[in-house]
Amino acid sequence: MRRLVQRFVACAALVGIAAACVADFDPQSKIGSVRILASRADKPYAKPGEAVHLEVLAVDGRTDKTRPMKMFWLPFVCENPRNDAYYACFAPPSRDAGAGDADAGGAGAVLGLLRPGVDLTPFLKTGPAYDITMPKDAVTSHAHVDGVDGPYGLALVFNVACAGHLEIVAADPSTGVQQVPIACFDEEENQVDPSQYVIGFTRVYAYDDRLNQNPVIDHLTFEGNPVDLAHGIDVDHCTTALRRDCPEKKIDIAVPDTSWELNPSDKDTNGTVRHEQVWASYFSSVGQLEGDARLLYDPAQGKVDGSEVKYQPPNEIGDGTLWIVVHDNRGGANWVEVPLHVH
Amino acid sequence: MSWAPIRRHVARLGGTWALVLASAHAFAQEPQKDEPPPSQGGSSVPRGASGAVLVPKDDPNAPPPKPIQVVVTPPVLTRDDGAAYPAEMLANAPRETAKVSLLLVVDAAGKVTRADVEKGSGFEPFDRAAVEAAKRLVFEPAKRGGTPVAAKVRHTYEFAPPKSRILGKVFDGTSRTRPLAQATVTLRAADGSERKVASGADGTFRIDDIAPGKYKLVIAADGHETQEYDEDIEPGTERDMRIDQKRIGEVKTPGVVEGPVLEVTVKGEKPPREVTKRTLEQREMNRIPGTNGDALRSLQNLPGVARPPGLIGLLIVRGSAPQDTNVFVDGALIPLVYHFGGLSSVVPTEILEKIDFYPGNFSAQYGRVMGGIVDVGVRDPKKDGKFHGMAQVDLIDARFLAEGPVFNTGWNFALAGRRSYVDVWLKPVLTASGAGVSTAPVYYDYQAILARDISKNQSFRLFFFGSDDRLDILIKSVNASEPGLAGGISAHTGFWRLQGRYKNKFTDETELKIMGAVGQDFLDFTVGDNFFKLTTEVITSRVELSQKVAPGLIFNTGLDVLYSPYRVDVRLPPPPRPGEPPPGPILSRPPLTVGDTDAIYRPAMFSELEIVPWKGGRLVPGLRVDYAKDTRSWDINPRANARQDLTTAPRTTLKGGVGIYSQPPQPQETNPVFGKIGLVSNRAIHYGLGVEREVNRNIEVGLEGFYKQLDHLVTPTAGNIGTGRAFGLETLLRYKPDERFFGWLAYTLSRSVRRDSPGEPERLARFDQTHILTVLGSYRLGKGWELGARFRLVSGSLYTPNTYGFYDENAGVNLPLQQYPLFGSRLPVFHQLDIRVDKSWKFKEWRLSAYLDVQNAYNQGNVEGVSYNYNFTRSTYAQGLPILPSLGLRGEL
Repeated sequence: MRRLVQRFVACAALVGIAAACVADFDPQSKIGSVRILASRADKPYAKPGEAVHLEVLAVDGRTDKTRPMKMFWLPFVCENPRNDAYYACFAPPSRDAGAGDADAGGAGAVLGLLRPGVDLTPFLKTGPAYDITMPKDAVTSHAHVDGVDGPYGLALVFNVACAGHLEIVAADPSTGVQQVPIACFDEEENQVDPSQYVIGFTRVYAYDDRLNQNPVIDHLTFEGNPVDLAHGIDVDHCTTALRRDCPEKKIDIAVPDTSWELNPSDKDTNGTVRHEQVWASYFSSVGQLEGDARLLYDPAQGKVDGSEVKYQPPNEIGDGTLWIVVHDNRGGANWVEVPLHVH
Repeated sequence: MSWAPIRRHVARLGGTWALVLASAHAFAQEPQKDEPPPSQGGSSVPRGASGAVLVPKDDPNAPPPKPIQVVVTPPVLTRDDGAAYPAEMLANAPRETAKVSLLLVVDAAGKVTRADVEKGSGFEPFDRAAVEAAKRLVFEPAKRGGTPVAAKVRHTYEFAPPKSRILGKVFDGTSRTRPLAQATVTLRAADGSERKVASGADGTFRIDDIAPGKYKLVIAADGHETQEYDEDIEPGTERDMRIDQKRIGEVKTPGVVEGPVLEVTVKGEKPPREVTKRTLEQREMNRIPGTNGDALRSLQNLPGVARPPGLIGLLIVRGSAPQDTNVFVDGALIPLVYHFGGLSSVVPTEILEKIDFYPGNFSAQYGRVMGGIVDVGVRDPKKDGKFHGMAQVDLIDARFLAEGPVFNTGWNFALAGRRSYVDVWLKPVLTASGAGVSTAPVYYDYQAILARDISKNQSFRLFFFGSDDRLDILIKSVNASEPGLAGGISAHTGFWRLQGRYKNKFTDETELKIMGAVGQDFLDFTVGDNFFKLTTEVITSRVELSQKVAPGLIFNTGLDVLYSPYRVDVRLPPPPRPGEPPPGPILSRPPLTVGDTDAIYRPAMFSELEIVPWKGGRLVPGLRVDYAKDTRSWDINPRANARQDLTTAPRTTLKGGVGIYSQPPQPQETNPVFGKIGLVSNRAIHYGLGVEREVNRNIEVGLEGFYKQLDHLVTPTAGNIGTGRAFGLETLLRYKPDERFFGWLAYTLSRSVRRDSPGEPERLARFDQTHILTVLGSYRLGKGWELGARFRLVSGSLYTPNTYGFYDENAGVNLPLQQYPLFGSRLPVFHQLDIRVDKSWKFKEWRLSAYLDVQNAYNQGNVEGVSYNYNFTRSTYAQGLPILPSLGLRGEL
């Protein structure tokens, strides 16, 4: 167990260093590029054979949008990749490995058979939604994992937000098993920079006997007052020269206790079933948010007080958007999109 | 301890001219620097009766001498201060007699102008001492016909080891507080001759100039029982005794010490059983800059020990993983070495006597690891019958120590404790940052010692010690790259041990050591909905019997048993496959849950021979046999070390060793959920070859190469399929502590690589560091001031570069593409200067000292890691601690 102790101490120390030495980067909450913020399955836990409707929240925060952003969906469901690893979906199958085996290849491995430079765009479905069917053998074909509370299956779906078109690219030996066989290119066949594309994936777990609901968003408050989601938030622009002198406005999201579900696989040492962890991530296209995400419910301690974030409006007058995504730790998600009116 | 060297020399002038050299013929024919050449003209060279060449102080203007019969008188020794027995021979050698024959040139004034060794002793210090002493000789010059002339003579010094002495203090009864004056101390030799002294008013006595041999020491005083002790006095030794002179009729109290309880015998240390044994003494542990006087942190300055990255307190020895090195406190294994963040170690310096560090090729008495061994020696409480105390405060923690006698029982105690107050300032900081804090990081440790010398040869000690670190916070702000690291985060690590140690030196040939310890280890941490809770009961025992079988042959054998029932409850994400990045944040996969109760049972026995086959040689073959119940496997580890002195003064030793070292898998590695069943022990073959030279009493220099071949390494979840190598070169130039200075220069060049499975490419081991240079020193300036500095120049730590990759839509985090192989890139070179200033003030009853320990004195922005933005498209170096002064204050009674 000494290795575990040492790893724990090392992690704690590294977290300490990271916390102490955070560089002055743009926060995750600032939207200024092509971004995927979340995806939502109507059934975060699906039964084998059930249809699942997926939606993705993708935004284009670029100022120059001459090449429009499109949402592409890769046309396969990656079922039970090796070790449940998303990158294994593109790995070629190893010899002698059968389906569900630890070394089984992913469905995306077929992309590796295509010649680099092939334009995939004509073959891909576009748009913010996608429908899949959970494979009927999703649970039974998953390799048994000792220590996991009950059998399960996993389906992974990949999507790409790209301001251009998608092509097959050659494998990069420097990234080992994490191969990305596709990339986003502009009309001149130049690979675009990361501000213009995102490759995302969403997991849908399959259980025979277990359900999960997406978190429910009850309402949003701005400075303690409920917000009309259709109209949005009105706020005065910042008039100070220094950002730190700008007044801070409190924004909070309300998720009802009823949405804080029990998590049957989470039992404490006494065998008591605990609840989900629920948190909210905030994004804005104008202004600045303090912190990227706030904890709403802790599995052991329950509802967390002081979950609001602080918002500083920009100096410029204009309109923007605020996105709030609420996650649970079992793949559930929900979001709201709120106009920001800076006066 | 001062020695009044017994000087013995014999200047053999052989009657008058018996030893005057016939070989001086050539000398007489050579023109001498200060004298005119012999006159020419075909006259024969005048000679004395013995054939000595006599060179007169000729007048250059005088006519050539006539060949006449000249009366020759040899030089006569008029002053001889003698030659002292060399100190280095006293300290390091077996105190033999030695003879040095010199050839002296005595000028016409009677001064020795030249001294050459004609026949040396075989030991350079003797020869040097003889030459130096000869230069101080004064002769009445040789004369030819009444005229002083230069001459050559032979002069011989014989060195005999200084005689021994006994000193001590007699106490009235068993109080250990009242000295007994006028006690008669009689030293009776085997031939019946006696020497008597009386103890002084303070109870002390002293008998000097004792020839080696067997004696009976008799202490008698009116109204007290007469006591007798058999003493075998070795040459050049000093015995310091404390004697409780029991009153007539005094009832023997159980536990009362009778007889001498403290004996200090000055002799050269026996060479270690190991190829390399590095010992840090109290003064070094206390004063190394940049460590805040922490003993175990000072280890990180020795050759072969890598600098742990950032604020991690780990011991990384010769390219091994941290868990490959075991730390013992007086033979009892402890699970933790450092408190949170490596700020300080779990055993305070104040109660330590020394630290022995074996970076490899260690003795068969140690096992179950394939890296290194640290054995921390805890000192006994002071036995001078007085109470002592110490209190210290600095910016991190406060500590105290109290020690003294337990009434008149013969027992002595020590009690110590330490508590950090990082929580005092960190709690407001964490709260201001939005975290809810129940327990800010806090640590404490405690020690209690009860010791008693049962007799001259027996001692018993009880030692209770432990450590506790904990924190409990609620993180409300969710980490952008790892949402699972939010919510309740708590950690509690700790242990305690109750240890008993019994030592009995039955005879000069037989010694027994028994150590037994019981205790508990705790390791709990909770992060969000993940947790790890482990409670371990620990029972360890170690027995070692050392028997001198014959001259030059010692047999050591013993048992080393570890029994450790444990209860573990775990809920953690599945570990990634070896060599692969995690498949996502910790909440992305259904966690693994384990609740288990089991026991680790690992008995072992070891045997070792210490053979001195010839002078200066030493062979230590050994065998250790381990059994691990969890893997149901035996490990048979043969080992052999050898040393050979190439020169004795100064001593130069060639040393080497080879041996097998087995390390059972970690419990989680054999767990059917988190690991793999059917594993066997990891294995390393250590090869070591080096040379060390004691330049003088204080300076030693060593050069050692090592090679570790690793196989059967456990690759988590895959099996014993890993292999590896670690090799390097270590140098140490060390000035051992004297009354003014200590310091060393240590440099290690090394490489450590691993292969996780047969088909995989070889990669650098996680903590590989190519160059490690440490230069440090501390100098007492006088008037209580001491100034020290440490400079380190170390290759950068390894890290894994990340680039833009995928977006995990469920967790809302960007997942980087990690460059393969993991930890394949190196951060910039680390260099840092630390400075320490100490000042102490002595008062009548106590002492006050203060120190300022400035880490990173020139504020170097050393790189400890890489920070990335949320999607890994931008990065910057994360720097370590800036200049960090630490102030401490200590009072001692």
